[in-house]
Amino acid sequence: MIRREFILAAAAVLSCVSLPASAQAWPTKPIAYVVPFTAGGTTDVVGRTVAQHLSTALGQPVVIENRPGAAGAVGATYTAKAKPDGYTLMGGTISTHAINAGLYKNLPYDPVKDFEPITLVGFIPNALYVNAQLPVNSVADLVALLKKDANVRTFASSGAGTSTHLAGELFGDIVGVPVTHVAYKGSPQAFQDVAGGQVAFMFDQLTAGAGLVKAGKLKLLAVTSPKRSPLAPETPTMAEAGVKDFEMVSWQAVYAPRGTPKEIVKRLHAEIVKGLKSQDARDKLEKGISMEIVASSPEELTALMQREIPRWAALVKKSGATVD
Amino acid sequence: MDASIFANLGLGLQTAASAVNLAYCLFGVVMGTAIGVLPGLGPVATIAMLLPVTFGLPPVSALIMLAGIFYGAQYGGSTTAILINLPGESSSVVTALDGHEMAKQGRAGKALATAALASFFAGTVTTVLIALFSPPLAEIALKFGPAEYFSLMVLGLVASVVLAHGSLLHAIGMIVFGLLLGIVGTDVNANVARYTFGVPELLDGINFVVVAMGVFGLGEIISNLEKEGERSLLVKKVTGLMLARDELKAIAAPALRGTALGSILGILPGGGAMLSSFAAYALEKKVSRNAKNFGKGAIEGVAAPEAANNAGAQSSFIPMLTLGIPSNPVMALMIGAMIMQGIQPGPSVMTEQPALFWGLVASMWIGNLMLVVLNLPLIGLWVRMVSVPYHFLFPAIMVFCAIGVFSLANTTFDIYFMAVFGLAGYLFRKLECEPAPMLLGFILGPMMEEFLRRTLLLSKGNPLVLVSRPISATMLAIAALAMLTVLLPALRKKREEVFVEDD
Amino acid sequence: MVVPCASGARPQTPHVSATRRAAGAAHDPYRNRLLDASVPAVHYGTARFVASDRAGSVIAARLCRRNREGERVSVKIKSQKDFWTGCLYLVFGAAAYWIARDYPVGTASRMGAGYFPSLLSGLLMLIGALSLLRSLTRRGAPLNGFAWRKAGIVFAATVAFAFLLERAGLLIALAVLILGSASASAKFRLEWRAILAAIGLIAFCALVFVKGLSLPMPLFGSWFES
Repeated sequence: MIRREFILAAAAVLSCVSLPASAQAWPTKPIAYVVPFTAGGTTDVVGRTVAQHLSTALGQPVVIENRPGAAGAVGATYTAKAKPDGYTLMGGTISTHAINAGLYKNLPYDPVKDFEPITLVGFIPNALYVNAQLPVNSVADLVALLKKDANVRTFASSGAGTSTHLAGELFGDIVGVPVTHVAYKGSPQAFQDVAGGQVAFMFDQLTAGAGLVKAGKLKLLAVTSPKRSPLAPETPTMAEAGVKDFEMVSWQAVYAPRGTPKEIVKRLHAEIVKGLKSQDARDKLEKGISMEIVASSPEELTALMQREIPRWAALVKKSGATVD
Repeated sequence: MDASIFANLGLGLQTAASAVNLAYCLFGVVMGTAIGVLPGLGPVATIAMLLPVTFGLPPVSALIMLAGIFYGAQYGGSTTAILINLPGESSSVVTALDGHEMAKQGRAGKALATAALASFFAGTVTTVLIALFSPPLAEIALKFGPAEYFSLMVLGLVASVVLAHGSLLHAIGMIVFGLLLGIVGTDVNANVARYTFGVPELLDGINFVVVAMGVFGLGEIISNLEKEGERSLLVKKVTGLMLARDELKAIAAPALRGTALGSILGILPGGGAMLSSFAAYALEKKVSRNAKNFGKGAIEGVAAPEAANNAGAQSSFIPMLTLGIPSNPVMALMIGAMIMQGIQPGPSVMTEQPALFWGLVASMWIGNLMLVVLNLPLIGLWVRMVSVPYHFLFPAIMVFCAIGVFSLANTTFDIYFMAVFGLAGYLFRKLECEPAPMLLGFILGPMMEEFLRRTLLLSKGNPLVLVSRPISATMLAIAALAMLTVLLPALRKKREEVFVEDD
Repeated sequence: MVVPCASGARPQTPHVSATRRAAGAAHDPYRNRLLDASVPAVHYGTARFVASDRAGSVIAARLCRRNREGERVSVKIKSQKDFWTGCLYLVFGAAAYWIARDYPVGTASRMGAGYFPSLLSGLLMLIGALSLLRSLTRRGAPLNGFAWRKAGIVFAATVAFAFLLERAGLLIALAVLILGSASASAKFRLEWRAILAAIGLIAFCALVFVKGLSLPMPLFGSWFES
């Protein structure tokens, strides 16, 4: 028994050492898909959906590794330093690949130089929620109330420097009312306090507050995407509701470490896009987290990042939310 | 509603008792017990790892299994706390206080049986509670604003003083030490990184499990090794596994009080469940006739926190099922699992998918029954495990601690940190500083600060909201009262000591 | 433990005032009673060593102070545990306070990031000072020697595991952790039973955690990759 263990172990060592990694044979072992946030969140759901389809297509397990910490910076740094051999992927987001660049003064990774973009999975609109007890039924009502009553000038966010925080700041800026930011450790607590009437309004993902809207604790006033969401067709966009130049969609993408062989990136892109177009992925992502699936080319993702990074850096600066 | 509740429960039982769902429930609770017993490895990591397995299952089966892992882990967690003084979760820190003392006296079997029975009792009561009162109970959660949470934390902090059985000064010192330790990380309100020394892994703070595994796990190991020569470390002779009639009588009231406290606190998403076992223990130590023996192996000190912990775990499902608000990381995972199954968590689950909702509720009771049936016979096995020579046992404990800590965020950084806390834990033991109050301070510290600052931000700097809001004021009053009952005897005792010193 | 100070102190030395000054609790009548009560235990100028371990006596010797008449008297540490705990609190409190200087403090109604840390570290220092005071006035159990070697082995084995896990891989890291930590026990012998148990444990971990739960731990780490 012991001897067999040893022989097996020895054989395993030898096979690891002797097999040269060849791109043709890729993948010959399980692929790690790093999710830089805790399990159960949006990025995790996206990652697991992508991983599930990818592993059927490639015939190798694609294993989710949750490496949370520092608004995704821990997992992104890990991926940036991983070997670019096609066996490490990462679910990047608007946080890790746009906002963090402006938020952290000493970001330990470079969102552009350290990564090989694979595809933009899709956009996720945020929505404007208010406490159901407030006498408002539209964005115009809310703006009027904010101008009139100083006591309701508070908004909640899932954390300082997140897109939900910056959305609130931008909103106050556009409508011309100073609003107080109340930061929370994650969306659930923020939702709880808006639903409980402690805080007046908040921006967050469309599906995240759906339960509280159905329970009659929150009102959904508008979506922040340029188009209406099929999940809430009767809810206007911010532009339709009269707030111009307010466009705030968060996004999800897939990256590999910079230097991953071109053929592997091509193959990954093709397979992931194919998976995203499937009915199963649409059920999970469109219905589950209200995503508008894009499945872009790597070049389109690069172009998006080039637009987003300076835009968010300016917003972060305005809100004063930088972290050392 | 009253009439339909039986129809609903009937539907639930029918769903949960199908052969397939029974099998998944059993798998879940066995898995949960196993990971609960292994120190360090928690339900969050396990459920995350098993999530892909659930994709292929029908939604009800998937949720039944995941829920089983969660409350199964609560049962298993107390086993290691009692046997080797290693609490894997915040809730079992208190169970270890008296449970491990019982084990040292050769009453490990009784402690484990108490834990299992109290948990089963609490699980049964809370299942009924969820079935009958979920929506109104969820309203309570929304009544709790930052002011109420802050006052609750103050109450918890006062309760943590009660936990200590040694010097009051050092109990307070360790709490303050824990509070400071809890501050490490990014300040939620102002987004300032504090005590992080430029280490990104510290930006989200130190994980509770890392501290617990270091201070309790490694610290205890070093201290046991030091005493190795003196005498055998644990259970020499185990006297009786089952509880005698008077012991059953002794645990009935504490289990009931623990269940009540736990099920109420468990509803609060902002960390209420974490407080439940602490609060139950503190309450018991105040009201019990056997208060003198707390910390020295009081069976009530095991029954109350175990009941509270299990009740809290179960009632934490309420805000998730009725409002879609997850009250802890495990519930967040359950929401993720529901989304992956194409279900939007919230009040509509109950109306649109009654079989799912009631099936899950019914499975909780079935799961609890399975757990108690499973765990009582296992007690004999666990007790025998401790009779393994210590020099064989402790390297295994270290292995599970290290792997468990790694599994928290899949980083070796946490293992290094655990090693440091191991040395600290040994030092604390040498200096007779109790780690339990420190851990509670560590949990409460960041929340207290966060809620207080949020309260003041929302009240525009007016601290009077803390006493003008009725729930908050009530809790502060209880806290003040509790503080008095702690301080008065301590002062009186000090006066006595003066005379003792006079030799 | 009493540590005598060399320069001939007379028995009638007003030691209370000296102790008081050293401890800074002059206006506490309650404490003074405590100090008076401890008179018989102090013998100045006599060579009475109760010290059991060297570290403690060194510290005690340092606490020698000159009294009002310029004579050296000793201050007795009655509780070493209180003394060292007090030191620990003081050091941590001071360090925490010093680091927190950079954080904006704000005001009580609008607290900054530095408000709580400053408050808490101040409180910790206060408790540390109280504990030090008490170590002079209230008797406690002596502090026995530290098991530095065993503590060091447990610490080193854990750190080695963390270091080796991703480099050498789980199998080797576990072997080092298990056998390394086991060597801290006096009862441990490297014999077939121990090795068999270690192999069994390693196999169990590899099967359950890597194969079963697929935790991202390599069986063979980066050192084995070409």
